[in-house]
Amino acid sequence: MRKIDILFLLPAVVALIILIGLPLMNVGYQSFTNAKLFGKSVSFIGIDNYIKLFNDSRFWNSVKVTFMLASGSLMIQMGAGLGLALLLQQPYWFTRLSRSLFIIPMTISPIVVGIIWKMLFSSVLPGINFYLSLVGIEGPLWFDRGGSARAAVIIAHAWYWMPHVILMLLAGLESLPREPVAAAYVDGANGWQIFIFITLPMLKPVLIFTAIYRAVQALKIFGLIYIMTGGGPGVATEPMNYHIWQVAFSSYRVGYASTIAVIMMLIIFVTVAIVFWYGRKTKAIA
Amino acid sequence: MIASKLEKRISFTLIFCTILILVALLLFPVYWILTISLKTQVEAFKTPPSHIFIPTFDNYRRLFVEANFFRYYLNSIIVSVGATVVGLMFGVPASYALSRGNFKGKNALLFGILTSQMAPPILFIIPYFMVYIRLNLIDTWIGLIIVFLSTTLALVIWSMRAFFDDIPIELEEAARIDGASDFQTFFLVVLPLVATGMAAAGIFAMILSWNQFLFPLVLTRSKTITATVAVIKFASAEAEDWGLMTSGSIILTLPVIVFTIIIRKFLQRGMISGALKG
Repeated sequence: MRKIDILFLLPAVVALIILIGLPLMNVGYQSFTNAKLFGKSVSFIGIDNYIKLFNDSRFWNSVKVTFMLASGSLMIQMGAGLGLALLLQQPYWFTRLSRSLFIIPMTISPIVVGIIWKMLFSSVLPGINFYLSLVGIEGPLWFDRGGSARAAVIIAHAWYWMPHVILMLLAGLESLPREPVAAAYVDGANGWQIFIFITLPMLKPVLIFTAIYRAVQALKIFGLIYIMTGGGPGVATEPMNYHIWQVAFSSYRVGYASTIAVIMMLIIFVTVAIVFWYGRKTKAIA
Repeated sequence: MIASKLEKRISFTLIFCTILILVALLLFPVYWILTISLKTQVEAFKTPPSHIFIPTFDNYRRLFVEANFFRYYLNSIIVSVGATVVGLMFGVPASYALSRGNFKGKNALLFGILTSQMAPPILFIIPYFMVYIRLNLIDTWIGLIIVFLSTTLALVIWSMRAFFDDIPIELEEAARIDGASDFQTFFLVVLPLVATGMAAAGIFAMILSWNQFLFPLVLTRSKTITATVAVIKFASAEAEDWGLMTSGSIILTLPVIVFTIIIRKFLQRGMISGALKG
């Protein structure tokens, strides 16, 4: 190791340990205590929190909601993202130019995205329901029922992050070798056949990587919930992240909130590991 | 490949129109909120919504004059720029070492930095809050800059690596043959070559910090409230002031959109090539 490497790495590594390592360890420790946000006395209570968690129906509800929201959003993101990436890959001047416009949603603050969609789905403003009525559909009171509230959150979330899928898939498409496509053309394949039998298989590693990355981010959904629904109606849109927030900052049970956080990290990690393992097994990821 | 001229023109028109419609659909929510911010309360609630109306800037006047938005905006600028500058100072050299250096544990370190970003911010907020109370860092610029660093630092390290990887190693070898030390090579030869990359990574880190809301929501009280938290306060159940919510949202989003368009090209590179290579 060169001297310059040590000198260059040291400040960043020390900073990362203090900024990320120590807080994570602290959460791990807190999860075994009954710490309160403003309490003085903290005692070690072993795995009591973990036992409690297993019988906590509100926690399991939040796990279910997290996966419902994440999978719904992920499907729209990936489907629409792939379609748009293929469209934007066409070699015209306007496709290059419009790429910046397609990226705009993902750069907006989650707060603003939440506000935009909360207002669009609101029944007092002429938003989604007004435009639905133009084509003869009577929109529901979106935030009054669990199902439609989740749908509203999923639509907002998919709109927010689909641009990221476009970006990653465009990069993937551009890095593909051109020869196989040209060869297929010569052999008389049509556009659809080329897509199914050549482009899609070659793009598979990028698709899986993008899906994993976006899934991890979707499992962390918080900002939109905070602004749009506050977890309601009831706990119908309360994902794990928002549940932790409630336990820690509404009922001040920091110890228990940390336990949920540890389990949540574990769930995310296991999900990623399974997808990764599956990708390796099917040789989609090298 | 052998398509007739007519066929080409048809597909050109078809794709052009599709993209036009899709852009309009995708950006409609942004346009919609912009129109509401420029309407009076009465006009905003009118059904059907009017698309041609006399814009009023009253909501923006209230935002800056009555709601004191400029102060929060300034706070956002200070902490975002602060977190970005410190992030670059620590991150760029580290990224160089991780690109060029050859030592044990390099990949493990990179992987560790990446996975640490998988942890949700909510996980960090509890320990940070408790430590900040003890250190009197609540409601300070420094406190916010420190907590933002936990994301900007990792981002800079990862996105700069791709730019360092792109520099041909021969350039550095040539500098060394000419008698330059490792440090001279880095500062005089390598750093100027990645200047645009640094600008892109910096803007990227700045946007990320600018949009942060959870940390400032918990770690500020009054003095250092950021623009995002101010907008949350306009939207909170007791207030729900549509005019301030929308005009605040627009002002909050404007610089982000401008910067995004500037670094669009790099956004793709820095984020993806770095991630895919790793």
